[in-house]
Amino acid sequence: MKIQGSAIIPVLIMALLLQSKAVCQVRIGIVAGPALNFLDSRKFNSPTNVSSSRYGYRAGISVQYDFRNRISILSGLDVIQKNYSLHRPDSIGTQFSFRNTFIQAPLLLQWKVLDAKRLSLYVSGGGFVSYWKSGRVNAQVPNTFDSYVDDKQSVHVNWEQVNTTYEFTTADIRYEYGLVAGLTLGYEMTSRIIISTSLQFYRSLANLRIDQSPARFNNTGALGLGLTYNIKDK
Amino acid sequence: MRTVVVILLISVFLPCSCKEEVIVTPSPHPKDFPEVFDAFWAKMNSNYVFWDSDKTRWDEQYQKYKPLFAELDINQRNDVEKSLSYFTAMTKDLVDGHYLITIGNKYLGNTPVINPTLARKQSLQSYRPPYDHLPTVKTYLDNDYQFAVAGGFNTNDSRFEILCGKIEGDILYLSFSSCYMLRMQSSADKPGVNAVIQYFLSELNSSSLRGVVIDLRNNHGGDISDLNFIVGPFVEPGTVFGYSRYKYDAGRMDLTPWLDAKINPLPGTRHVGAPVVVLADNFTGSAAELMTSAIQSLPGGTFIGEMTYGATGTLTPEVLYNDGSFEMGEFMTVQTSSSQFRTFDNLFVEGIGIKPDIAIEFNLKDLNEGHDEALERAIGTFENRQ
Repeated sequence: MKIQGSAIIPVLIMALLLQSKAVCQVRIGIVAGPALNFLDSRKFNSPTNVSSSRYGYRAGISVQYDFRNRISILSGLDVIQKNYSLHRPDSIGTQFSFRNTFIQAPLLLQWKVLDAKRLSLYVSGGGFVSYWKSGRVNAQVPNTFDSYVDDKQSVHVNWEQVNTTYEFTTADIRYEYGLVAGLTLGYEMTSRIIISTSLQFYRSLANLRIDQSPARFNNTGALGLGLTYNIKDK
Repeated sequence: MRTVVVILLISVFLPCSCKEEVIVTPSPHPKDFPEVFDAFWAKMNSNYVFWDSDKTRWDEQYQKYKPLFAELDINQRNDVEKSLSYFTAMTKDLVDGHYLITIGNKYLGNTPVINPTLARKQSLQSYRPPYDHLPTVKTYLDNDYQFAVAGGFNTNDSRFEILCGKIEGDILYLSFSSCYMLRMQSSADKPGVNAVIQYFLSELNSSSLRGVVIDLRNNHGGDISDLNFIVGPFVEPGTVFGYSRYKYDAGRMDLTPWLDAKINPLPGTRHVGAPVVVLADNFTGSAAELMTSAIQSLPGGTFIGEMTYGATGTLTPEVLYNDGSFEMGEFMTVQTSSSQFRTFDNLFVEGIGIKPDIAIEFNLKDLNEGHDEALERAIGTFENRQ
């Protein structure tokens, strides 16, 4: 049986409708911060490569709709980098660093677990969909088509350093979906302006590869500093 | 509130249990045909570099041939022979010009070879066997030409021939049967060949040359470093003559960005300004084909002859890129390219061959009568430039 990740969204909306006793508060905001991506790669035949997490960033806009005192829906649109590197720890030492930019739309249900004067703490969970917009690859690789012969007539292979746009292939799946969970700590500066810091973890349920390659899933943590404006007062 | 929490929990954990993944793990020393098949399929999946341009549908091959191999017994001669026909059918359309499967001697008492590219060529009505041009060429050369023969460096090229001389006093001609010129020059036990190479190098540095002919007809390739040795004198260091890429991981499409394919002249090489013509034919392959492409890319370079063989990748040990050739225990070895190549004008010619600037059809009758039209056109090219 296959469950589509996007099926989570109507489930969440249904759950919210069941609960709807609106207090009608709408906030818009901006958020930005670093993101750290871990590639979950199921290898079956790549004996030497090791993947490592790489830092990127997340920046976006958010809309928060409070419909009960402690419950709200959070959505928005983010640009997020899900970067990783592959390298060979053996004597060959080949290195590849991938910077992948996604446009991402999360939908979260937030529960305010702490409401103390000006401080508030939310826990949230939900889903996201994203589109793999572009990529860059920075590689250091031996190039057998670029060899030279030394004075002793020994042949050596030159290493190539290349930093270029990633060329998508028919094996790439550019749509991603998954689950997101997070914590947000907010501080109410005025009745309309809140600054916040948030930590969110995105777990992709979509393999980025279409064929029988090593499956690749992004797991991304993002730390954000946000500024929220309450456009509909209590 | 409880409803929301329960639904959230369900939505978080349910999809996780439904991730599907089919993984075929190859055995390094397969003992029976099901293991041989799995190992072959999986290694091809990860090591073959042309999946982005190949017509063969590898997943369908798995579905079709897995049950057939499951019925075979590796200790039965008939079944091993049957497996040969299955491997042949599975690989018949592979584009890799270097692709070869060799079955271990232990199983059939000989070492049968599956060569899809050659089989496709041989099935064409226009196919012709290789032809030895040198006896005809010698009639065009001035009397003081030099010719030598030596043992080669591998079983495919067990005999190395080199012919060098002048035509009309100021056109330098060189033919060598495989791309082991640099290695030959470094070998102390090849004095005859070495003398011809030294003759070529000294004549190449002569300032009065009208042109140079590099004859690569029937040359199946060899070391890629011969490009630096032979083409190096005609270029500046680091001259780009094409583009190459390799695998970086086990996925079928895990290919590196295109990297520049370069020629770097040997230390102490003097630049030669004379125009150069390369002669090549249907049997010019691998490093010789790359040399053809490199000469064709030069401002003063011309390629005359037939389409080349279409094997433009390189063969490097599997450990370098985790791709290319592999072994499956004692049962069989698979030779396959570890790189893709594109020509200077960005053409992918694997399995196709490089197109000549001046096409000359093979004419057995003319050659047997002493007329080498390709060589005559090469000489004519230099006359036009006088």
